[in-house]
Parts: sequence; structure tokens; C-alpha cells
Amino acid sequence: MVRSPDRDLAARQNGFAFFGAITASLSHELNNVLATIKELSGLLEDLVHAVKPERPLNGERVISSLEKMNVQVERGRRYVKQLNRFAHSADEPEAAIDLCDTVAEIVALSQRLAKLNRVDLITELPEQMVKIDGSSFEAQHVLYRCLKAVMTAAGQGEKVVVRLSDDGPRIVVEVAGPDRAIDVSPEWLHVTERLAEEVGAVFVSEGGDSGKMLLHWEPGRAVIGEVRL
Amino acid sequence: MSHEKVLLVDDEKDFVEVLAMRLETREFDVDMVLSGEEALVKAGQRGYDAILLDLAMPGMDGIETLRRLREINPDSQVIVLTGRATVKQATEIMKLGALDLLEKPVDIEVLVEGISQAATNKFRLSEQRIAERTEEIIKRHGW
Amino acid sequence: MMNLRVDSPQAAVESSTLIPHGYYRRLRWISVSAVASVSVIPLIIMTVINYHQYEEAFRIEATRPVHRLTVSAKLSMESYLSERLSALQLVNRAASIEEMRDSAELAKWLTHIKRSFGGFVDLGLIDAAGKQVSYAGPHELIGRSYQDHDWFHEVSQRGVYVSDVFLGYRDSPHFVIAVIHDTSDGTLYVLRATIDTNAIVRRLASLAGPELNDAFLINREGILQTPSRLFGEVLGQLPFQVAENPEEPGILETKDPDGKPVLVGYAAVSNTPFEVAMINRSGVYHGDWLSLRRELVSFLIVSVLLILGMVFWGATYMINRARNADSRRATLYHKMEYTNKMAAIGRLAAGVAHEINNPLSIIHQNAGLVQDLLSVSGKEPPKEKLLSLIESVLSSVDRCSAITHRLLGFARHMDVETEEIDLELLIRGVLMFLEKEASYRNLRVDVTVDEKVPTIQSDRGQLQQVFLNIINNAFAAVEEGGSIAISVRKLNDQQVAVAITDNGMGIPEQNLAHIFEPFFTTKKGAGTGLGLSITYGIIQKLGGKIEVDSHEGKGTCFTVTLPLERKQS
Repeated sequence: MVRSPDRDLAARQNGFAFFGAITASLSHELNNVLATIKELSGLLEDLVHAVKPERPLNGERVISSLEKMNVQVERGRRYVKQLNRFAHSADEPEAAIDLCDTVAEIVALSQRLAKLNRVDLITELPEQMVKIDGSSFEAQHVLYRCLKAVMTAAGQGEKVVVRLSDDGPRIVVEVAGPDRAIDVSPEWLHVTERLAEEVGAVFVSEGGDSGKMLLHWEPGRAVIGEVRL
Repeated sequence: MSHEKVLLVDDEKDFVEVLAMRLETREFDVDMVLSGEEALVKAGQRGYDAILLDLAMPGMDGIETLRRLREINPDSQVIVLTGRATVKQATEIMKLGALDLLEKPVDIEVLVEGISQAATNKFRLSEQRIAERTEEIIKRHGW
Repeated sequence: MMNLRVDSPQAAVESSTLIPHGYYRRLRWISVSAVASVSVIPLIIMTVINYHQYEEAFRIEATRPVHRLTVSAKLSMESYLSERLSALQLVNRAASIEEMRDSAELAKWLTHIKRSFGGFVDLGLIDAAGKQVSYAGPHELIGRSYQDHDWFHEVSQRGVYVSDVFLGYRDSPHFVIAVIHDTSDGTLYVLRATIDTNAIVRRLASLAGPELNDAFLINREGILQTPSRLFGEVLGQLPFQVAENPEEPGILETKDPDGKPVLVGYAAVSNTPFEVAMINRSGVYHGDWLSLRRELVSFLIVSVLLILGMVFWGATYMINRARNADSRRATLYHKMEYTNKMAAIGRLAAGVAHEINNPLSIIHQNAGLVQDLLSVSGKEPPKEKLLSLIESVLSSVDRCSAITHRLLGFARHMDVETEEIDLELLIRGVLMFLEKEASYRNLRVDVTVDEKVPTIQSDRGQLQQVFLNIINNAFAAVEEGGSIAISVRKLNDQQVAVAITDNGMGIPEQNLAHIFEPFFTTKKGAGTGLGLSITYGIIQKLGGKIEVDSHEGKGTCFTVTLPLERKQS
């Protein structure tokens, strides 16, 4: 199979862009957290400054502000952890990965995008681990592309489900939005196929108005860029 | 000049609540909404001296909201709050006639100053409008 | 701490596996010409040598019969002529001078030798004064004087004479032989006989036989002495030259009047002015040689074509394999490079994430402490204590947000879009953001643009970021009332350069080498120092370069060089 270097290049530039998008999204969230903490501490300051002999400190408000601050700190830590894990996924290119983790992580990382699109993004994952060989980063990359395409097509308040199923030899990740045609360019398809190939999967975009994208892993089967549209 | 009317538009609930509280202690008359759509409704109901607008919001984003606010009332004094705008966004925001672009987290003093500036601008603009109208009336009827 | 080495300028320098344009084509020509020359050149040399050897063999083969027949013709002519001379000598010796002076007696002798030898036409005696004394034959020649004739003097000196052929009164070609008759009293007479050439012609024809095309006699001047089938009648001039009086029989390759190649065998007939010439019209290049030569040449051509074809195909095949291997290696290399870059960026981001964690912990701790102070002690904590804790939270937030802002800036610049950009407009656009600060601090900003600066293909957003960063730095470096000069000029057909010069405090020399490293900052506590490293990274990605020249206390000049067209990196 002849690989076009342009397509490889496009796939790689997409890799950087993907990294940038996720990092940017997390930075935004972190920033919101920090802004809120800042306002909370500002409020505390206001409260303390307001203390006069005849007006004692409003303990209740202080405590509630502090509680809110703790919530924000926790949220911030969660983002930091996500960012850390995500950044390290790019750091460790090839490994045996648990697809459950990978799907869960990329879905978590895509929540801000889902929020901005006002889409409910939910996962359906199996109980047991689903092992594949490949780069977690690249797997997240191709999943993110699918997620983004499906979420962009989905309307406000609609649901996008990422379903991972493992029935023996066949592993499928299904990204299913509402039944609506997904508008993607041929170039987008090429790059996505190429990225799927990189993690040993076959990318299938279901035709018509199904609004579904599938990634198959079938051990022992030659990986072919198969597209049905 | 106290009790300036301020509208806070941000989807980050905790943030907007606390900010509202703090501004209120600084004797501003604060309303808050969690989306661009709501902001348009509110702005249609009341005339605000200043509108603090977050850039990244679900649904209608900050830039779109800004454009519509300025369409509804070209005198709207909008201060855009953002995590960090790209240069391209910043240019667009300035073109759309925002008063200022402040990066989150923002110092309350800077914000208060911005709001006062907005209120002054607004006041001056409405004075100007009144003057223009008066002049027009004089021209038309008073000779 | 994080790895500072990643993304440092040294590591970011593109190590390229690019193969120069036309490399494979050149390689192919070199191998084709090398292999072709070591195989084709010896083949050609061999064939040329063989060709000459065969040609020589065929020449010998072709000339042998001509040579052989020429020699026998020479011998035959010599014997014929010596026979006639002997006959004449016989008369000369047998007859007395009185008999010879008598024409009737002479006629008897003529009849006698005609019968015995043949070929004689007449017989005559000439005295020392050159006067015809007696004559037997068809003409009336008595009394004629030969005093002034060359042949008469020659025979007087040499004793024997054979003349060229000439046409007699009846247009019959013949020639003269003459001998000296010495009488006892010393009186000199010359006995002269005319011989016709019919017998010679017949002899030559029979000698030539079916093998040769032509046989004739010529004299030393190349005048035909007997008729030739190819070269005309008696006394005609031969169109080619043969050696005059050759000692040895020779072979000449020439052409007949029809332009066909002929082999001419020639030999001098001793003691006569004649030479025999034997013509073989088929020449050297008759059938066998021509077909062999044809085979030889076509063998050579086919072989050369075959070799060249093989060499060409072989070279193409090998080079294609090499090219494929190179391209596979390059792909692998690029993939590795990509993976490495990604990993480096990943480590960088992970490091940044880690940096955020600490201030977050401080916030958490302080919040907890305030809570403790309020709930545990039961009485109101001192105002200052609370304020200092809150202050600590705020400063941690500032630290964190500086980092997240940098991280965001960093994350935003991982994608490149290309569009047509007018640098002057772009820079003036960027300056708009700084107008307020410039007027507030009374800074002077000059922009000069060369007339011939073309538009460039690049990423607008990223370039804006680059210039905003650099100009911002310049603003930060100058004192109130300072000045900043921005110049845009075309460097060459591929590049433009933008120089941003300030008259600020400058960068200390020991820092100059590090300013593009991530996390390098001189502003203690302010920012994480990702600014210039991002700038550096963006410019690299856009295919340009950035250089800095600075003198402490005098100012700094950043020069950004950008390509007119962005190449795929």
C-alpha cells in the first residue's frame, strides 16, 4: 500500500493540532477555576474588610465561600491530573493500552467541547479491560476527531454516546449521535482513516443519516482503510 | 454617581455569583445570566451601564452575543472577560466596539474602574444623544 | 523540574533527511554510464578488431585468384613476346644480310615465321641511316626514313626494341619489335617486324577465363594496348593509375566506369612497355563478406541495445529500490521525529501541569486554615491573619493563571494555517493594541517599510502573536520616552526580514544565549518565561528564523526572517 507523504504529514500536523486543542481546552477550564477562586478570595477579603466593631465577621458566608473554594480547587486538581495524563500519553508512544481508559479519558477531555456545543456526551463501557496495542495518544486523537465531527453535527441538548464493545475477536468503538448526516470532507476522511490505521483499527463512517462513526479492531485481519458512505 | 446597572454574562455559575456579590458590596446594581441568549433578553428589558461578557460560552458565544448586543443598542458598553483571547479574536472584539478586553482572573479594582468608565461613556453618549436631539428639534422647530 | 532541553533551539533545529533535487536521476545516469561503458566499449573494440581481421582475410581470399592469374598472364605475355623476339632473332641470325636486303627473300622468311610462330604482319630491314632497305608485308614502305624516330635510336642503343601498340593503316592494332643486325664489317642494320595483337587478346581472354571479368594490356602511361570489356577500346586511357613498371605484381582496389568496386591485378611484362591488368569486378566486398559484415554489425547493434536496455532497466530498478528504501527510512525518520517532538511537547505540558499543582495546593491549604481558624477557635481570628492568608491565596492564583495563560498560548500555536499576508498591515494592526501604552508612556514607534516588500504566505494569527510578543518585550525594555524602530525589508527572492530595534536596557550577554529557552525569564516571579520560546517555536514552524543582537544599556534588536512562501516542514 502506497502511503502518500502528504497524508502522513497532514495526519501529523493534525496530531499537533489535536494536542493543542486539548491543552487549550484544559487551560481554559483551569482558568475558569482560577478566576472563580480569585473572586472567592476577593469576596473573603471584602468580608474581612467589612468587619467593624459593631458588625462582626459573617462566619456563614465565609464558610460557604471557603467550601466553594475547595470545590474549585478539587476541580482544578482534576484538570491538572487530566492534563498530566494526557500530556504523558503523548510521551509514551507505543504500549499495551486499555481502551476503556482511553475512551474514558478522551470523553472527559471532550466535555468542555460538549458543553460549548450543549451536547450530552456519555460513555457506555464494558466492565472488563479491553487491551489493544498502540499509542494511547493516537487512539485518543482519532476518537477525538470522530467525537468532534459527531458533536458538531448534533444539535443543542442532544445526546452523543461513545459505546465500547468487545465481543471476542472484534472490538468496536461506536460514536453515535442523533440520526443526522455528518458532513465531513474527503480530506478529513483520509486523515481519519490514516490515523485509525496507525492504531491498528479500521475507520467506518456509517452512511446516510445514521450519524454514527465506528472504529473496529479485528485481530488477524489485515488493516485496510475501509469507508462506507 | 452610584448604583450603576451592571449585567454579568458568564456560564461559570460560581464565578458569576461571587462576582455579583462583590460588585453589589461595591454598590453596583448587578444582574447576572448564564448564557448569551439570556443576556440578550435581559439587555432588552433594562438599560445597563455596563455589560461584562465572557467570551467562551456554550450556545451563543461571546463574540456573537457582543454583536447582537451592539445591534440592539449601539450605545451598549460591553467589557469582554476572557481566559485569553487570540489576537484574531481581540481584533474582532475591538472592531465590534467592545469597551475593553480583560483577562480572567481579573482584579476587582480594574473591573470597577472599567465599569465606571463604561458608565461615564454611557452617560456622555446619552447626553450627546439628548444634545443632538435637542439641536435637531431646535433646527426643525426653533429657528 | 522539567526537562529544559526539549524544544530548546538546538533540539528544534530541523535535522533534515531531504535528498537534493535530481539526486536519483543523477545517480541513475552515473550508474548507467559506468556499467554501459565497461560493457559496451570493450564490445565495440572487439567488434572493430574482428571486423578488420575478417576484412583482411576476405581481401586475401578475394585477391588471391586475381594475383595468381595476373602472374600467369605476365608469364604468358613474356613467353609470347620472347617467342616473337626469338623468331625475329632466328631470322636475324639465319639469314644473310644480302638475303635480308632483298625484299623477296625477306618475304620468304616472313612466310616462314608466320607459319611457325604466327602473329607477324610484316618484316623489314633498315640501315644505319634509318632508311628502309627492304620490306615484306602489306605496305609499301621501302625508302622510308626512320632516322628521327625514337624507337630507331633506342634499338640502336639497346639492341632490342618493343613498341607500344598503335593502329596501322587498316585500323588493326599492332606493335613493332626490332633487333639489331651486326654485320661482320661493322655495318649496322635493324631488323623490324610488326606483330598484330589478336593472338594476345585471345590469350588474355582465355587466361581470364570465367573467373575474372576483364583482362588487357596497358602501357606505362596507362593507355590500353588491347581492348577492355570495362574500360573501352584500344588506345583509350585507363581512368586509374597503376604503379609504373612494378617489380612485383600488385593489386589495386578501384571502381569501374559504372562506379562498381573492382579489383585490379597488374604486373609489368619484362623487357616490354606493357603491363597486364586483370580485373575482378566482384571486388573484395562480394557476397560472403557483405553478409558477414552485415551480421557482425547487426550483432553489435543488437548486443549494445540489449546491454543498454539491461543496464538501464537494472539501474532504474536498483534506484527505485534505493528510492523506496530512502523514502521508507525518511517516513520512519519523520514518524520518529514526530513521535519525539510529540513526546517532548507532552513532557513540557506535563511539567506545566505539575507547576500548577503547587499553587493549587497552597490555595487548598490556606482555605483549610481559614476554615480551621473560624471553626475550631470559636472566637474571631485576627483580621490581619485572615487577610494575609487570603493574600497568599490570591498570589497563588496569580501564579497559576500566569502558567495557564502561557500554556494556552503554547497550545494555540500548534496548528498552522496559511494565507496571504501584508506584513506592514499586520504589524500596524499589532501596534494598535499597544497604542494606549505607547501614548501613556510617551514612547516613539517608527515603522519603515521598503517599497518592494511583497506579501508573504504565512499564518496570520501566529505572526501577530510573534510580533506582539517581540514588540511587547521591546516596550518592556525601554524607559519612558524611549523609542522603538520597526523595519520591514526584502532580503532576497525567498525571504523578508523584520527588525525590531529598541533603545532599552538590553540583554546581559550571559542571558543572550538562553532567552529562547522555555522557562527562562529575568522577570522574577512574573510569568513563566514561555514567551520567547513560543515565539521561537512559531517562527521555526513558519519556516523562518529569529536572531537577537543586544548590547547592555544600549538596546536590543530582534530580527525575524520569514520565507515568502511557507514550505511543508
